[in-house]
Formats: sequence, C-alpha cells, structure tokens
Amino acid sequence: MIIERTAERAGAPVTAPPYRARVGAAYAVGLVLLVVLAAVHLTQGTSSVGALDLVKMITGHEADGVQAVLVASRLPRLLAGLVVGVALGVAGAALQSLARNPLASPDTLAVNAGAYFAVVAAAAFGVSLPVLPAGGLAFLGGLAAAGLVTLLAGGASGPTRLILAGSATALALNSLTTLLLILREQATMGLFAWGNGTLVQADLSGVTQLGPVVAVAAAAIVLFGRRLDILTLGDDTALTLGVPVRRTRLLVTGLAVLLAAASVTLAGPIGFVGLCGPLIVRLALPRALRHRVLLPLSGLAGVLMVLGADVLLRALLGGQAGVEVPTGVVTTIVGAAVLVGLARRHREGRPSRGTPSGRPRTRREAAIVLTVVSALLVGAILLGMLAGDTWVLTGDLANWLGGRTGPALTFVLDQRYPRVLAAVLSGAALAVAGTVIQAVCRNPLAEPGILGVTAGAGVGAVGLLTLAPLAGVWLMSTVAGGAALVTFALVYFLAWKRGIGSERLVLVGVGVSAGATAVIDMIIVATDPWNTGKALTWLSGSTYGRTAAQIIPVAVALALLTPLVWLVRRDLDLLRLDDDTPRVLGVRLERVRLLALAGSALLISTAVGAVGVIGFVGLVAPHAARALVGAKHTRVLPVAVVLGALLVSLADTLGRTVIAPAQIPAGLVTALVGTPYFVWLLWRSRA
Amino acid sequence: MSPSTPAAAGLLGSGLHLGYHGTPVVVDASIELAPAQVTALVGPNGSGKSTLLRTLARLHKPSAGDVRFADGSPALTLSSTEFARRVTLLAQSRPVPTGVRVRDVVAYGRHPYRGRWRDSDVDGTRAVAHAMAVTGTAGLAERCVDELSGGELQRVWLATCLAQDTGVLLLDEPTTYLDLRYQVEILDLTRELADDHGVAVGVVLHDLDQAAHIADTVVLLDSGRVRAHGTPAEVLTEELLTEVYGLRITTTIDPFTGQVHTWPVGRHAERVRRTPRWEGN
Repeated sequence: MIIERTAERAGAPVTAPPYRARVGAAYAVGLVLLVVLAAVHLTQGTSSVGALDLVKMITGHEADGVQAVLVASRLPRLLAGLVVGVALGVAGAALQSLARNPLASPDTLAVNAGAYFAVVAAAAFGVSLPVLPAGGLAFLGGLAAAGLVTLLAGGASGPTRLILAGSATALALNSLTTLLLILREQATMGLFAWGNGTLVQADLSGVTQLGPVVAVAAAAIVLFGRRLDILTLGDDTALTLGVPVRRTRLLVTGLAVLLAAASVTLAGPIGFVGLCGPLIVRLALPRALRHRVLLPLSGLAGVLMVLGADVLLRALLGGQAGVEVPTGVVTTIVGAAVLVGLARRHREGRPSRGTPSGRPRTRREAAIVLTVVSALLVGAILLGMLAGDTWVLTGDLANWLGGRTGPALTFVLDQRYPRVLAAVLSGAALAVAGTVIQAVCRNPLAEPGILGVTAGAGVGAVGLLTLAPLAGVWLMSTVAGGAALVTFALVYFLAWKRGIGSERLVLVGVGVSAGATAVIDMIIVATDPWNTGKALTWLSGSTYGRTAAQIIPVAVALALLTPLVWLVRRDLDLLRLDDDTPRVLGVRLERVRLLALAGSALLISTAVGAVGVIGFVGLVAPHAARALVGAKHTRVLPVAVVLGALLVSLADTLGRTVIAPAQIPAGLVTALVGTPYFVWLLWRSRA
Repeated sequence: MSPSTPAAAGLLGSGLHLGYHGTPVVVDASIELAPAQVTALVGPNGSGKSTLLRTLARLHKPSAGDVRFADGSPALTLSSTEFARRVTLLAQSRPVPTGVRVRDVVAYGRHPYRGRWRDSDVDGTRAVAHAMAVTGTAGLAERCVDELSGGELQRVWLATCLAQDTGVLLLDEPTTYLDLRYQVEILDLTRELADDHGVAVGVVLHDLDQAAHIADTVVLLDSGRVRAHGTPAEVLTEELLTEVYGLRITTTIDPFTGQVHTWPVGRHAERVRRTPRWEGN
C-alpha cells in the first residue's frame, strides 16, 4: 500500500472577476455605448443639421429649423430605436428562458409573421387604412397569431411543442404574405421594405403611445425574474419550490407577446434583435446570470443593436439610405456578425433535451405506415402528371409513355414531367437532410436552413438575378449550388474549435444564415423594385420552366448520398443522445458528423439549385416521420423521404393547378399544406 | 456477461494529468485496473474520480500521461470501434431518448460489432437478451424509454454496457437512484463479472461500505491526487478517511467476514445514546 503524504490542492483557484464586478462592467460599457450611439444618432439624417448645429442649439445659438428637425424627425427615430430595442431584447430573453431553447425569439411565436401578414393582406385587398389603425392592425395581427399558436400547442403544455407550433405557423403566415406580395405586386409595392422593419417615424405619436406599454410590460417581466430563474431548473423543481409553473409561463409569454407586438407596430418586423440581443448577453457573460440582470441587459443589448445598426447604415451610406434600407436588414447583419463571433467562444453546456417523437412502432406497423405513404406518393405523382393548366386523362398518360400522343399533348407532358420529378426529388433530398441535421444538432427546431446552405444559395441566386437578369436557369442552379456549398464550408469552419459542438454549430448556423438572408433582402430592396417579384418567386421555390437536365444534380446526389446516410443511420441514433454515448460505443464522432453534415449540405444545395428555396419540408418531414414510427433512424429515414417527396409534390401540383394559368410557387404551398398536418400531429401527440 | 468475453484485458493509466480549459483537476495520477479485479475509486466530491474514469474511457483527453492495456498495447491510439469492443463506461448522466424502446437502447451496445448494412451481428441477440436478463430489464423490453423511472433507466443503460461485451467495465456511481435490492444485485453482478469472466472493473462509489464490500483494490482520491491505494482494510482507515473527508469517520472490522464498516460521526451522534429530555425527570 502506498500513501501519499502531500495533500496540497491541485491547481490554482479560478481567477475570474467576481460576479458583481462583471455585471457592473457590462452595465457600464453598455450605457456608455448607448450614450455615444444616441449622440451620434442625433447628428445623422437627411437634412443638413449636423453635430455643430446641435451643440449651438444647446448653448442657445440655434439656427432656424434645427429644433424642428430634432423634434419632428431625429428624436422620434432615436426613441423608436430605444423602445423597439428594449421590447425585443426583453421579450426574446424571456421567451428563450421559457422555451429553454436558444433559438426561441419573439418570432417563434409568429408575432412578427402575424403582424406582417395583417398589414400586407389589408393592402393587397385594397383596404386602405389611416396610419394609426394600420398600426393597430399590425398589433392585432401579431396578438392573434401568437394566440393561435398557443391554442394550437395546447395551452401551456410544454415549451418544445410551443416553439414547434410557433415556427410552423410563422412559416405558413410568411408564405401567405409572400404569396400576396407576388400575386398583388402593384397593390403591395413598398410593403416588402416594411416587412423588414424600419425606424422611420412620421412624428412622436407612435413612441408616446407605445413607449409606456413597453416600459410597463418590460418592467413586469423583470419583476418575474426570480420565478424565471427557478423555472430554468425544470418544471418539477420549480413546482417543488412553490412556483406556479403554468401561470408564470402563460403570463410571461403574454407579456413577451405584448412587447413584440408593440415593437412590430412601431417599426415593423425588425428581425433578429429578439433572438440575438439576449444571446449576446448570455454568451458575453457565460456564467449563469440571474434574470433580473439578464433581462435588463438584454434590453440594453437590443437597443445597442438597433441604434448601432442604424448609425452604421447612415454613416456608411448616407442619410437617404436610412430612409430606404430597412433597419431590420442592418440589425440582422450586425447581429449575425456579433453572434457568430461570440458563438465561437461558446462552451457546450447542459445536455440538450431530445426531439419530440411518437411511440416506437413494431416492424410490421412501420412497414404499414411506409406502404401507405408510398402509395400516397405514387398517387401524388400521378396527379402531378395529370393536373395543371391543361388536364390530361390517364389514358393519354399511357399513350405518352408509349410515345403515341399527338404533338399538343406531347408538348404539355414533356414540359410537365421535369417539374413533377423536380418536386419529388427535392422534397426527398430536403427530408433526408432535415433528418440528419436534427439528429446532429439535437435541436427540434433545426432544419436545412440552419447550416446556412439555403440562405447562401439565395444570396448567389438573387445576386445573379440582379447582376444578370437574363441569366439562364442552368447558370442560376450552378451559382446557387456553389454559393450554398461555400456557405456551409464557412459555417463548419467557424463552428470548429477542437471539434464541432452541437450548440455552437446551431448558433453559428443561425447567425450566418440570418446574415445571408439579410443580404438577400438588402439586394432586393436596394435594386430595381420590379425585380422583387422575380427574386421572391425564386426564393419561394418554384418548379417553373425546369428541364430534365436540371434535375440531374439532385437525382445524382440522392442516388449517391442517401445510401451514405443509410450507412450511418445507427450512428445518428447515438449522435442524437449526447456526445458521450456515441464515443463509448465506438462512433468516430467528428468524422461521422462531418460526413453527415457535408452530405446534407450537398443534398440541400442540389435541391435548392433545382427548385429554389423550399423551406418547411426539411423541418416537418422528419418530425412527422418520428410522430408516425418512433425515433429509430432505420424507420424514420424511409418514411421521412417519402413524406418529403409527397409534400412537395402535392404542393407543386396544387400551385400549378388551383389558380391556373397563374401559378403559386411550390415552396409557399408546401408551408400552407404542411402546417395544418404538422399542427395536427403535434396536437395528437400531446402528453 | 456472455461467455464470449475476450480474455483478460486490464487497463493501466500512468502519470495522468487532467484538466478542464486549463484548470488542472487531476495531478499525476496512476491507476491500474487489473483483470478479474474490482477497483473502487472513492473520495470527496470534486476530487477527480469521474474525470479519471472518463479519461480511462477516452472521453477526456489527458494533458499528460498514458493509458495502456494490460498487455502493454497503447489504448489512446486504438481505433474507436476496437476500443469500444474492449472498454465501456456507464456514465453519470444518462440521456433519456424519446421514441425508442428499451430493447433498442440495449441493442445500442452492439453498435461496435455491427456491419454498416446489416441490422444485427452474430452474437447480438444472445448478448442483448443476456444483458437484459441479468439487469432485470427483460420485462421492460417493449416499454418506451421515456416512460421509465430513474432506477429502471439506470439498469437499462447498464444493460447496454453489458451488451457491449467488453473486458473492461467502468461504472460511474452505478448504485445511485437504485432501490436497495438493485444496489445489491448490481454490486453482486459486478463481482461476478470480475470473478467468473475475468472482467476488469473500475467503479466510482460514494458509499464506502459498498466499496469495502465489493472492491479488491480501493483508490482514494483527494483534491486531484491519488492519496492512497491498496486493499479496503489498508485504505479505509479512520486516520486517512477523517483527514480526506474533513469529518470524523470511525471504522470497525466485521469479526466474521473481515469486512470494513465505516461510520461517519455527525454532530448529533451522541444524541441517540442520551435519554430524551422529555422522558427524564
């Protein structure tokens, strides 16, 4: 036996500054920045009033009109930025805590989507409203959407269900909005910019009306701070400690929705602040923060993001750009950069909780499910061939296959089959990618867009549309696919730090794709407004004018990569648990992760190259498959593939047929068709 | 464990320095898990027991030091699959996967033996059935994992480890959450794996009596250093334990079994012997 006589402690004590000092420093830095930004902000604008004039005014030597400019234009804009920043920052922080998900934000409850939809719908159907009721409309739209989401999710049943229902609803509402923007281009012109949020204010009335609402609601949430601290420990612990879990969740959600609705009313849907502001605070001060500190700091971070973006925009592009370029676009770009930078410092923390799933099924039950959805897919493909602006008979289809149809019918069907195939194949590809990404990211909100691939493709395509409006479809697919892969490489590179952490990957991915999306919006807004429709159509995912040759990449990718994913199906089962279990069981974690993600990126980029951006299917198909057959990837993968193909195929057929000869992009119909089904699945699987 | 267990494969860590993000947690620790022996790691919270165990399972990369198998072959450079066939760990945090059955989770243990395409391996069915039988989880086979109690879940994950059929078994606090019966059964099972199948077992335990009961060798850790190692009677002494735990601990040797019993002396230890105040007159 050996006994060591030295009992000195290993290592020095941790030398981080104490909690109070760090929080104090954060407040100090934030407030100083705020004052500086506010001061600079006031000197910027379209009129020639500069810093010197303002100083003169304070010292009593004002020139004519300086005060008028200040009160009528500069101050309202500054105050709007303050109010919006606080509202979004606090609302986002509260919702992230309630949902225990860093991806939650005011828009995960569809508040922004609802408001935007209400405003666009009113304009599209020619209901002209004076300024104030228009604001009220956005407010009501936002509240109604959030109410709908809460109802669909089954009240206070659980955070994951709530954000899933919210995301689906937001996607569907955004699709409807885009649909209106495309179909009623003239009536809704200029609203695309509103849809990205702007701080332009006509006068002080908006701020004076909504400022107090925001102040009261934000203060109320901060008062709930201690309960939120306890809620983060889990429902059971919170109940044991005497916190009324359901009531607190409902009240705080309500207050956050109120804040988000106020913000959307004042400035339109300013993206990303609600998501990114709180995240920045959490990442910059990584030790656990009490909510009474976190919430005000998040509000401060929100204000800094909004004002900083506004100052930056006008400093770089001049005062006029401040009127034309939506503030939301710039906040997103600035916020995305900060988020990515901070996410690289992020250490993996608590283990993520699993994605929701239905009961596991026996092999026979799973086989039945697969057979049924496959039969439905065959039916959908058949329907896709028959339906369209010209209806075809089944007999004609047989004749066409045998090469015995007349020239007119041959022409119609020759045009049609690539579209049907494009829809089926990209649906399948996106479903595979979505399944893989949800397993690797361990986040039920993860979807193909999270790797930045979709948004990257969008940047490539929209950029090309702008530079060379007459570019052929082939060139488009190539550029989009290439841009997609470059973006994925960027995300992977940025998320790498002694291995890929799931949480870090998600954060970086969200940052990069939000940034890329903002770039897309910027390009659309800053260039010829008549290109908006064209760009939006591409971004919405359309099979229009596809030729057989264009489908080859996605077909090849599916043929090669699906078997590859199948080979790692059991590794995915383990990967979705945590980092330890797969390693104990001999999975080469980083290699499988890179393989799976790169495969998904390739699938997504080819799919996007073939049909443009089709969201939703990659999020929903895996969830639906899990609800049907349980969570084993051996079962989930085939069902998800067929469901994805089925969903996009049906959507495409509907989009081509319902308002023929006009067409609705498949991506939009996908969300519209998919949401009710998805929400029903969520509803059915309530605990 | 099934009879196909590979021949004796102990694990030897030497000169290990371990830390998190630059903060050292374990300093210059050496530990031997001999074949057919149970080695218990004991020590106060934060003394580095789990980190040491995780390092042996290759879940934590040592900043210095080496891990080898008993035959001298290096363990840190072995291929992942091959390592997973020889060493497994029951981790302290056990994930609760949704949407899978108990049978599926236990079958995870066969992962390192399965081909890419096929869904089962030659010994798989037998190993899974055996693992479920000895952990008392056979009756749960078709249940959903997210419906289980904490103790049941723990036994399911232990069954997964057993299905992995390794020569080295590392257990991080295997008896927490378990009722008395399963605590004893798991300790007995561990003993049998070592005695009958030559498995080298490394186990982190908080209960010193359990450690004394089951272990051939006890390793006492204190603030990241191996303070003592040897037989239970050598290590679990009043002097050492009292110093390391910062609490008076008395020990007795059972005259019949020769086993060590520890008795922590709390501040109210005297109370039981006193006549309750309200009874006296």
